[in-house]
Amino acid sequence: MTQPRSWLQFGSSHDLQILVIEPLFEEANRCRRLIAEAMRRLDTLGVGSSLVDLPGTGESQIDIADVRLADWRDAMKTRDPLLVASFRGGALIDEAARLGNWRFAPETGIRIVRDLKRATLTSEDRTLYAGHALSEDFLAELEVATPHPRANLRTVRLETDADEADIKFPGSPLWRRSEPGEDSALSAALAADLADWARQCVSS
Amino acid sequence: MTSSRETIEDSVRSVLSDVLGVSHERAATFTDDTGLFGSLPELDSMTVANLLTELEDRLGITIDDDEVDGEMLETFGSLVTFSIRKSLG
Repeated sequence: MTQPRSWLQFGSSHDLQILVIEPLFEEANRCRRLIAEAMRRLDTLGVGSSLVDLPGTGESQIDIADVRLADWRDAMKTRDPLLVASFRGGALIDEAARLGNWRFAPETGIRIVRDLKRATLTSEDRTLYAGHALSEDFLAELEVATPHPRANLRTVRLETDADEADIKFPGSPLWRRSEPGEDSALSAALAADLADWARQCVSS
Repeated sequence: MTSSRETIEDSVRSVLSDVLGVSHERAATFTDDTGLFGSLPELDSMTVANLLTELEDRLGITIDDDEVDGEMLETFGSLVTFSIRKSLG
């Protein structure tokens, strides 16, 4: 498999680099400004980061209907990353990290599939899942997917999230909003946490 | 957990505010007749899905997909009535 293209990159000259995996499907659009702002701030803190297209999404030439979850995991492995920061459903495909994983509000596949299926209930075209022509095989794979346990893992969540985390930050779940905008305070908090974590990972 | 009708209405208002990204002040002006699905441009199909999930989480209810239709989502009042019926039985 060819390496997926980095379509957003900040601070490529820094020694420390983090591969960023976006949330899946529509949530990626909703979190884009939050993530891009965090990456920009990370650059000012001396840490580089890059965001890649998943096969079948964005500028990728592959048809999403032919994609399997393993394709996404493999695409991340071709980048051979030391450190991976994943957001939401990105945690389902982030095990390529050699040294450490950082996860923001990780989500299980079953809840992602439930949202995708529910989006068809009030949609004009019921064959599309939130605008994506996903195969039934792919949905079945996604439905049983959970974030893999990792040896060196830091989990970050919002304060309003009842699930366990290493640290929680104030903010609202932008991934649930149709008009998400940005949350620069949250982006700044995430960038600072990521920078500290990345340095600890390489120094220990 | 026992929830009163007022508490449930407040929860629905708060969920709508969070999911639609509208201010709490604007959400506070919603009345029974305020149109939702088909009236609020922010409420697209994916947002409906998020709205249902968030309502389930906050009210501790389970919503079956075949209960979801245009009528239940038509107005603020119809969504509150549905939520009260699910919560209080």
